[in-house]
Amino acid sequence: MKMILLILAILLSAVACEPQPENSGVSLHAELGGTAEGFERACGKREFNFPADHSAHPEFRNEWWYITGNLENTDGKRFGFHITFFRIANHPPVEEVNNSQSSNWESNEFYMVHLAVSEADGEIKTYERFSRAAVDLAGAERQADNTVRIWLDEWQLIAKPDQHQQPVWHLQAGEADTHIDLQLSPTKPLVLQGEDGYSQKSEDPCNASYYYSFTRMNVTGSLHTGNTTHQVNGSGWLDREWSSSALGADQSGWDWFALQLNDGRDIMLYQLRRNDGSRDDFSHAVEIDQNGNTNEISIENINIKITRWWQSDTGNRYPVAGVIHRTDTDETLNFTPLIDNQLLDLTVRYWEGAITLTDQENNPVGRGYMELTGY
Amino acid sequence: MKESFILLDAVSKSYGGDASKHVVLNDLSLNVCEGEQIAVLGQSGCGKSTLLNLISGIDYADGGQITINQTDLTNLSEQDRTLFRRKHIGFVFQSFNLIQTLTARENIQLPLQLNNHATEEMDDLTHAMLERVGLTKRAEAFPDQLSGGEQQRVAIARAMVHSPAVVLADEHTGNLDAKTGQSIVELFAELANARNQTVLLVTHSRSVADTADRVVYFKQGKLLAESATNDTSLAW
Amino acid sequence: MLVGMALGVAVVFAVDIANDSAKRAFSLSLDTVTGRTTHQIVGGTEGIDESLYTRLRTELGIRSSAPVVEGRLTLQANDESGTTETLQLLGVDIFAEPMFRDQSFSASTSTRDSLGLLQKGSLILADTTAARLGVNIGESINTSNSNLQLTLLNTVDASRQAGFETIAMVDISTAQHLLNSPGKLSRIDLILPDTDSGAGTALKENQTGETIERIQSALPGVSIVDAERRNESLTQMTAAFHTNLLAMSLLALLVGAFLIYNTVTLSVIQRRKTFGQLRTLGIQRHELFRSILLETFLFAVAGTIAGVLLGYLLGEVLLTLVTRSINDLFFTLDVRQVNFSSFNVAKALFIGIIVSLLAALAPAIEASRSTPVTVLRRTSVETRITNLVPIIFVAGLALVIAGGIILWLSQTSLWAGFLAIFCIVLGYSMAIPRVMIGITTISEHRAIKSLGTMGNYPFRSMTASLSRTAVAVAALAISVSATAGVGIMIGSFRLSVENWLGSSLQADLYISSTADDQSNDGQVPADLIDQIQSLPGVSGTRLARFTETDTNIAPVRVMALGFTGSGSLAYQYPAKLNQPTALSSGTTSFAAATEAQQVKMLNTSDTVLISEPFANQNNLAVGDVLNIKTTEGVVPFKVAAIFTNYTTGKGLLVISLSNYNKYWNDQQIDSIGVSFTDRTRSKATQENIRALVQQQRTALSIRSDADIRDQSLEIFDQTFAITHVLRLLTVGVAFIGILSALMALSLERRAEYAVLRALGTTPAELRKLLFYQTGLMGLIAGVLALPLGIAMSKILVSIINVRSFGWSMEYLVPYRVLLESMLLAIAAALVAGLYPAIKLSRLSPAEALRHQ
Repeated sequence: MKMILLILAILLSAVACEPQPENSGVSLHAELGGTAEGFERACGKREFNFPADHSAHPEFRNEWWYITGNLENTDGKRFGFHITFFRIANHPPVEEVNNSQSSNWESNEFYMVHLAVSEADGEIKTYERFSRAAVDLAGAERQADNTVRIWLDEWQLIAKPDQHQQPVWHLQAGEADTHIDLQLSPTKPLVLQGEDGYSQKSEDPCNASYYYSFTRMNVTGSLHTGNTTHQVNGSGWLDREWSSSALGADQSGWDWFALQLNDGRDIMLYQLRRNDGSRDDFSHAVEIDQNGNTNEISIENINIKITRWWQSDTGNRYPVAGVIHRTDTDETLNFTPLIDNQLLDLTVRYWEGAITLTDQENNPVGRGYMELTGY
Repeated sequence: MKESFILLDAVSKSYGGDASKHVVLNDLSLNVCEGEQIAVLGQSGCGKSTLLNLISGIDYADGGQITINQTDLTNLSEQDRTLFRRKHIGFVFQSFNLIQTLTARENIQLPLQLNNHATEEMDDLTHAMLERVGLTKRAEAFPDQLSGGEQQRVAIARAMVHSPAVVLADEHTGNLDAKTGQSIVELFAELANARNQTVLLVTHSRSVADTADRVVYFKQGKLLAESATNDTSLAW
Repeated sequence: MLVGMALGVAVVFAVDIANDSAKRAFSLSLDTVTGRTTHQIVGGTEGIDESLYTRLRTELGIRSSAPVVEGRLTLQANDESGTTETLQLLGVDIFAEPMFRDQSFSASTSTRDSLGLLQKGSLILADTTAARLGVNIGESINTSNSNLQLTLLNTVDASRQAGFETIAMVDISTAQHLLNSPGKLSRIDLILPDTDSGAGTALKENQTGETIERIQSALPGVSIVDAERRNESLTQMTAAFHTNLLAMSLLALLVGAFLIYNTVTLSVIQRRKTFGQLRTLGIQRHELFRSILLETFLFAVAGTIAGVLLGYLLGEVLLTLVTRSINDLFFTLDVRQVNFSSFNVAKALFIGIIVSLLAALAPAIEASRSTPVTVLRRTSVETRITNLVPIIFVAGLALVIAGGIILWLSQTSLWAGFLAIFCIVLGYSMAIPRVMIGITTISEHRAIKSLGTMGNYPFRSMTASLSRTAVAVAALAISVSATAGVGIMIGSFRLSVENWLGSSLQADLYISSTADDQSNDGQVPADLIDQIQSLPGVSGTRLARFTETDTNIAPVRVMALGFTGSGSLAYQYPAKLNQPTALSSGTTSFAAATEAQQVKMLNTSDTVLISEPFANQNNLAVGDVLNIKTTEGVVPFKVAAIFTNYTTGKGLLVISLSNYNKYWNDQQIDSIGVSFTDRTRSKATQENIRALVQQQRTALSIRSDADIRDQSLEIFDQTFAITHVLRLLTVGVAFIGILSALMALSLERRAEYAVLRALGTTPAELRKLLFYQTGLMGLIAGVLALPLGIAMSKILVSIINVRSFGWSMEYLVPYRVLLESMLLAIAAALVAGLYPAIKLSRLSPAEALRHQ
């Protein structure tokens, strides 16, 4: 993907604002002269409809299926994994007037997938793929039996409804010496983020996305890395988001946390950073209890203190360890990375990795995934 | 006195451009009668050869008039001068100038052919001439197979075979040893006499000049004096 | 002297670089197109289904694969000129590309092109191509392929990507649209672990084999070919063509060498007197020798450099012709830039200088050996030369015989064929001086009688300067014989093609898809076939289906033929290759059977007819078994006959349509040949067919047999344009040779001509004399050229062509060509004599005599 890499790298480095996954597509389009025009925008609440909404929303410009998880093999060795299927539209879908399409390869969309596997005391393996959404090379579709399949080449994510109509996800991807084949079964109901799934990102009400999550899923399956195939299980997290518009111009990046605590609570937390370094008001935090009930946490009540920076080969510094303090409950969570280098040096460069959570006494209290962009 | 046959009136000739003009003949006048044999005596480069070239029409004068047998050469075109020369003038050169690729006989025949003689007449004349110069046996030899004297005899035969009115000789003994030269000079004179040809021969040799009826002295393009051959008063 | 050398070198250099450039461009364009591809999944002419690619990636996960849609794209220049340019259309998927062609593209394609290319109609061209077409980035350009307007997205720097100059890169969707081939790919490129190099070769080989097996078991029926091998077979096809050109350039070199020899000797002889004087002054022999060679060397360097410059310009012209020939014969290749390496230049310098020095050797030795006196005498050289003539004659004869033996001994080697031709030409030219003496002695006697001394003079004069005239005559004779030889060859070839077209175009009307046969399933609808067959006035049809497949020997094109009514096979079978042999022992051979029997044999057994080039290139004979890969697996076919075919250097097989239907499981038809009951071709029937065709949704073309014949012959003529030019060049070089020989002669003979003038020869007569002489030389050269030309054409037709292309052809000596060659020789000599003659007639005899 050298050319694409070049394009994206150059374009995105030209745009100071940095690579949040969602923004990559957006800024790409902005640069390419595309606008949100012609696309539907997320300007307010909507009715969600599952399993249809597990599949693609081509009327929006960008969309992704994002899964992370912390795994352990039978020996207790820890792994982290992350995969995101991005759907990116070049231009709004064209209404085929007389359907005299002369080539099946015509498509207004392409897919980009990022795959990363981190190994404790080891390294991170990252992979990236692109494909146009045509001739079945990549896409997302809901089949008659309500199975939803998202795929690019042989990488795929399949959601099959179980007897409770809860989707069970099957993920298969891999390249070179790294392969994962995992089953992910939600242990909590689906969570609509923001206001009933409408997640506003800046002043403009249309600078928003539709956003839902499965914050805790039981993961089992196999993970192959190097010469070894590990039987693994653990806990995973799925985020789904689609939108048509960019961040505000004054936002420079974000820090995003998906925390799964041993007591059964999950916390989703992100802070948008402004160009002046301050925290944007549209930062957001939410707590999900054992039963899946959500509890909005005012962002005012959350302080994040960085304790350690890690410097990448490129010279960029990432805050890989720190302390999250909740003033309302006086809860303290120390976070440290599974390994320092969990940088995805792909078309869009960002740090995305497994973290360990400890309390004030340094007792393990949970695990999670952290995403750092714009550094 | 016989009638004037060759008449040169105030002829001048020079070579080269304005800057490096080299005057060869300067206001030269000469009168030769029919059948007269004249020797032009002078040192190299005095304009003797140029004189012959002008008379033969090989070259043309810058000024003055050259008349041969009442034909004004100076008024003739190149073509007509050549035709005139072909018919009326024979030429013997110092270095024989035979055509290397033709035999002795063919060389002699050349003027006859140029003058469109009938084949039989041509053969007869050539044959007679070969006999006359004593080369019957060498008729089919090529020039490079002949000695200098033989070559010059062929050349003389070639110059006279078509009986031109005027025969010109340019140092015709110059490339020959004294003895051979003497025989050539004699042959030349005899032949010319026999045909009553008007002869102009150019030489730097007194003895050669002596065979002529009259000797003119030439120096730097000018006629110094003339005398009958037996007049030795002007020896120099 | 300079001009002579420069010209000789120029021709050789021009042909050399044109040849090399074409070859390089070819390999570059192969590289650009195939890149690092190791294997390719290919289909027949109809291409492969694009779903194969999807399955390859999504089911098998073979990611090092890239889909390609290829074809031709004709672009119309964006100006009034209305000129068009046909490029190789390369439809790619940029998302699959990088690992394939990144070297060529990503280095030069600007970054944002990549996504822009996805836009329908986006196009990337080489900057030079865009400039030629007068289109700027962002502007649109029309194509005659489709009404789709293309937009130039960006350009590629052609100086960095030479291979790109022939290419129009578009997205695969645009390509499918332009070629009207939805759903089809031309091929899928694969990069499988490199088996050629590096450590762990065995392992990689294993992996490669495994992958291929995996693909084949998952996608039965696909054929995977080794890209290298595929490219190689393309390369091999052109190799013979290049060899032919090279041989032409060697011929030019030979003539050029004569020319250089002539000019060098001229320069030495002109100063013969000076050298003699130098010797008289006490300059030693070796000093003189050395200084002559040194001088020649300096001149040679200057002349050669001038020649290289001249050759460069000439090369540009030749290149377009070379590429046109390649296009017509093999595949799209369009190079406009002449490339040359220091190697080409070094070669030209070496040839120019070495030949000059060799040529100078003889006169230099001559000048230095002779005594001061003999140097002054020209005839001494001539005497020696005349003495040498018999020896050279014998050596020449020996060479000719050697050439014959080489021909006889060498079986199929093309190089041996050319070596033999070279030997024969050289040997023949060495025999020329002796022959000239002979001719002149004979003519002499007659001439003496009719023309007298003046008539005799030209003959004598010519023989006397044999060292000069013989070389000029030989050079002229060689070039004219080459002209005649190649002319006869082309004439024979054209006649054969005409005959072949006449007999194979049995139908009166041909209906086929207008689309490019390579990338399109241009199918003729089945109902149309039925309708046409049932039309009144139609006596029969010939149905054809084309595909490409592999055999146990080489990839081939397959033509499946089916007949109805009076439709006929109409093939010619070269007798030599179709002796009644093994096939169904006892009965008559296929070639000798009746048409009905032939059709029956094709239909009822697994028999195949193979084209002559294919048979020759692969040493196949009637009765051999060919394993042909079909959709149903590999099927052994028996070779029933070998047929004449001039369409392509590639292999072509003919099987019956019924076998095709059976083994390929395909009922489509690509073209129909329609025969009319009435040979005068009832207008009504034609109109009916046209009306039927126009109702079809598929774009179909209707061409009459005459159209096809005309087009074919036009292509034929274009293909051989290059040879015509080379022939003329050779004659041009020889012309200069004659001119310089005559100049030398007239310089040498100045004194003699002056004497003739003094004796009363008029300028006009002198001119005439010289004209006789040059005309005589031309006539002799012309006469001598004929046997050599005929011999050469015979070798070209029956040996070289068979060895290089596998084409056998009828042999016919058109007397017009012979006459023309003769006239050419005389005209060349006369025209060459013009200048010396005019100069001579202006000679001032007085001056010439004075300088004596």
